[in-house]
Amino acid sequence: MRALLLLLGLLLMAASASAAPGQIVIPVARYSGKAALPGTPVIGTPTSLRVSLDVSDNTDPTVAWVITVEYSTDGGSTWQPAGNCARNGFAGPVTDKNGQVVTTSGCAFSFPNGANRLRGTLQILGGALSTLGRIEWE
Amino acid sequence: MPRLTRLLLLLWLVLLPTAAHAAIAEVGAGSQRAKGQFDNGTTAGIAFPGNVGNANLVIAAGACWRNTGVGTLTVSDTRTTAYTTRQYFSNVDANYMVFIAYGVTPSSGANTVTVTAPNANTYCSWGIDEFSGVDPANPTDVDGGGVTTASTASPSSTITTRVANALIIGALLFETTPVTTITPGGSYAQISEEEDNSAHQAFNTEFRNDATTATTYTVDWALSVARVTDIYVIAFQPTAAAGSSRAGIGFGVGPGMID
Repeated sequence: MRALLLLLGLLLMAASASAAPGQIVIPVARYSGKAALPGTPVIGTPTSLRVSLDVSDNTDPTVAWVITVEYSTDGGSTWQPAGNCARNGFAGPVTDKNGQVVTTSGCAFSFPNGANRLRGTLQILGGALSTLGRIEWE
Repeated sequence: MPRLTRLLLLLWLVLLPTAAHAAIAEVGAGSQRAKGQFDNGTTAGIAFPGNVGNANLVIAAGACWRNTGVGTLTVSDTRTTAYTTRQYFSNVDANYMVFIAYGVTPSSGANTVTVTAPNANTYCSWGIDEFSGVDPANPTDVDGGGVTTASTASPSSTITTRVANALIIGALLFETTPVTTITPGGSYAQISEEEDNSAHQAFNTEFRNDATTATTYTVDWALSVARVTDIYVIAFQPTAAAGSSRAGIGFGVGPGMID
């Protein structure tokens, strides 16, 4: 019985040490001004952090969006910047190097050392934007 | 020769090799390395994992692609470092561009480095790092410029340093597809890499800080698949106290390069 409990404990430790995927969802909506993206716990030790946003409606060059990601190493008492990305509106379809139309935009950063909580903001400059997206890590 | 003079001469001879071998150092032995990218975007900022020091060299180096040309990048940071940005557009496909941007920090503290493209539909990926011991007033030893290689699994360029104890930084670019493994040359340490940036540009940045002699160095990588690549190389010089000999700045701006 003791050996079984020890084995179970070791398995739990191994599971907690690995990276668990997590995300902050940016729900579909028409955004203007600044929207807070809620603080979310990080499980395990992720290595990558990625932001993606639908830009189908991001065609007005006078409208831009900015996503800022912050991390905490103390459960949310203090916050530091992890990274940010932004895009100005672009009129007309965007194509990738294979000529395929692209409707998403995004960015990625190294996962901040010791982060146990992430949060973000989505800010729309120059108007409003209908979109959805996510901040995800693994 | 008076005894005191002989003693001072002996002391100088003992200390000289130590001074001559004081190399430029990567701050935190790699703990300040970080990577960032944006896809179909305009700009992104990456935070250094730890505070940067005052008067240190900070670099952002990587690659970009845009279907009708990338244009001129802007690099900045939250410490208001003044960056020099060198870009090289591929001779084979000018929509691909490799770059090295660098500057000397005006103060210490938290720092986020931002790379901005002039157009919204740009793909960029790059790494950042910090080095101490670089001459803050005159960091560049030699700007080796950019080259486009033939298809090869062993891409390389060369740079001839002008001072002892130079820091050499190389940035490599090629088109992804198929995804290709990149290994820095045996004398180099990797700063950062991206082998598949949304199936656009791949990059790898590497450095060596053991270029003790002013001579010609090969800057190389090994790829799992032969590719046409673009390479940019710059050497940086140490502070006057660390270098045993110094020269004026070498400069070579080649075709396709912009400042």
